[in-house]
Amino acid sequence: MIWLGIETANAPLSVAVVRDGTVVAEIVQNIKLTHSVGAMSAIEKVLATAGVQAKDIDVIAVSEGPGSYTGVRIGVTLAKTLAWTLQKPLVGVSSLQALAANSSLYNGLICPIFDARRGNVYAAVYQGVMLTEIIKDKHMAIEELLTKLQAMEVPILFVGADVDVFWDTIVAALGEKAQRAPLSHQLPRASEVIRLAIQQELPSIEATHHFVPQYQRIAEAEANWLKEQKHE
Amino acid sequence: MMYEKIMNSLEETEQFALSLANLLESQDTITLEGDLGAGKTTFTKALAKGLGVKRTVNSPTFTIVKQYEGRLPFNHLDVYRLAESDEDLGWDELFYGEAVSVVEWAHLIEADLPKDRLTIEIYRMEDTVRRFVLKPYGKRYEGLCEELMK
Repeated sequence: MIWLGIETANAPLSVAVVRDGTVVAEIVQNIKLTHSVGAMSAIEKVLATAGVQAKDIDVIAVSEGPGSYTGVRIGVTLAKTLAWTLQKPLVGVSSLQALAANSSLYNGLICPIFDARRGNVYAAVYQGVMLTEIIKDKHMAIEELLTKLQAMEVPILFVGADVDVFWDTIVAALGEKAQRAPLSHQLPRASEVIRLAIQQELPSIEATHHFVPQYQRIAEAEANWLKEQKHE
Repeated sequence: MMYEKIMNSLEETEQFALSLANLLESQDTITLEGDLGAGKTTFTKALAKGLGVKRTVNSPTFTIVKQYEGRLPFNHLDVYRLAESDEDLGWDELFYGEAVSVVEWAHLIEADLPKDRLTIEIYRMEDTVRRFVLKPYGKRYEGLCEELMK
């Protein structure tokens, strides 16, 4: 069974090929290259390196969000297009859970973070080693996240390249309870996306049509519309 | 670091924009601030010309961004209409692509701008006299300013 994994939910990019439970090739990068230019060529490269042709792929796994709108859209659109063209199933995995999976051997609480700008984050809390969901993927102010975490009595491991942005704030709120994953765990890996996808039941090929990104945040026009409805 | 330059005429301003354009590379970001009539558009038009843009450059206030083809692709952004907004419009794809970007009213999207950038403030002194204040953020732009002010 050959899996292709795609992860472009934020600025970093990762694609991987896994064959029969073995990682054959993987690209992980965090450079200033837009996904609209870099993602498809990275897929071609990883397939070529792995010696796999597109028609040999059995399943596609994609990081479905949350993250930057553009990043999530590009990854999901690529994955859907490939899955439908090749007539192979498509499995979605939370981009936050995939990031947490880097540190899944940590036997405690794991908090993956993406910077959502203006003091906001996309974050979640998972319990290692099984990555059980403790706080669902959510878009929130960093303060809101830290208030939730202050209530927890155990150390928390923060994962992600964007932890840097908030580290001082995190330490100020949580003190020694706050721990930080090593640098080798910073970037999301498509092999982790595949690992989590393997645990799911394979959807039907028709289900690809209904596959949508999990933005975990509504667009501004939608938010304004909801606000107006409340006033009436 | 801060640089000041007085432009005594429209031609001087245009010449300055051309010199700057010659030094620009992909992913360079310039922010422009200045009152109405300060000459942001005049400056941007000259800069675009210097980048080899052939099409007419006009205000992107309504569309927020206009993209042009030249020696390098050129993004012209006017984010005035985003004053009350925190919409994620795919900034990274704009700022970290192949293009050079000029952003008017940039302070409204402060959080989304690249940290390294060149800010230009334009002050109207007299009819045709303008004071330009340039502030480089990051090594790339410090070097750029030194080269430009030689």
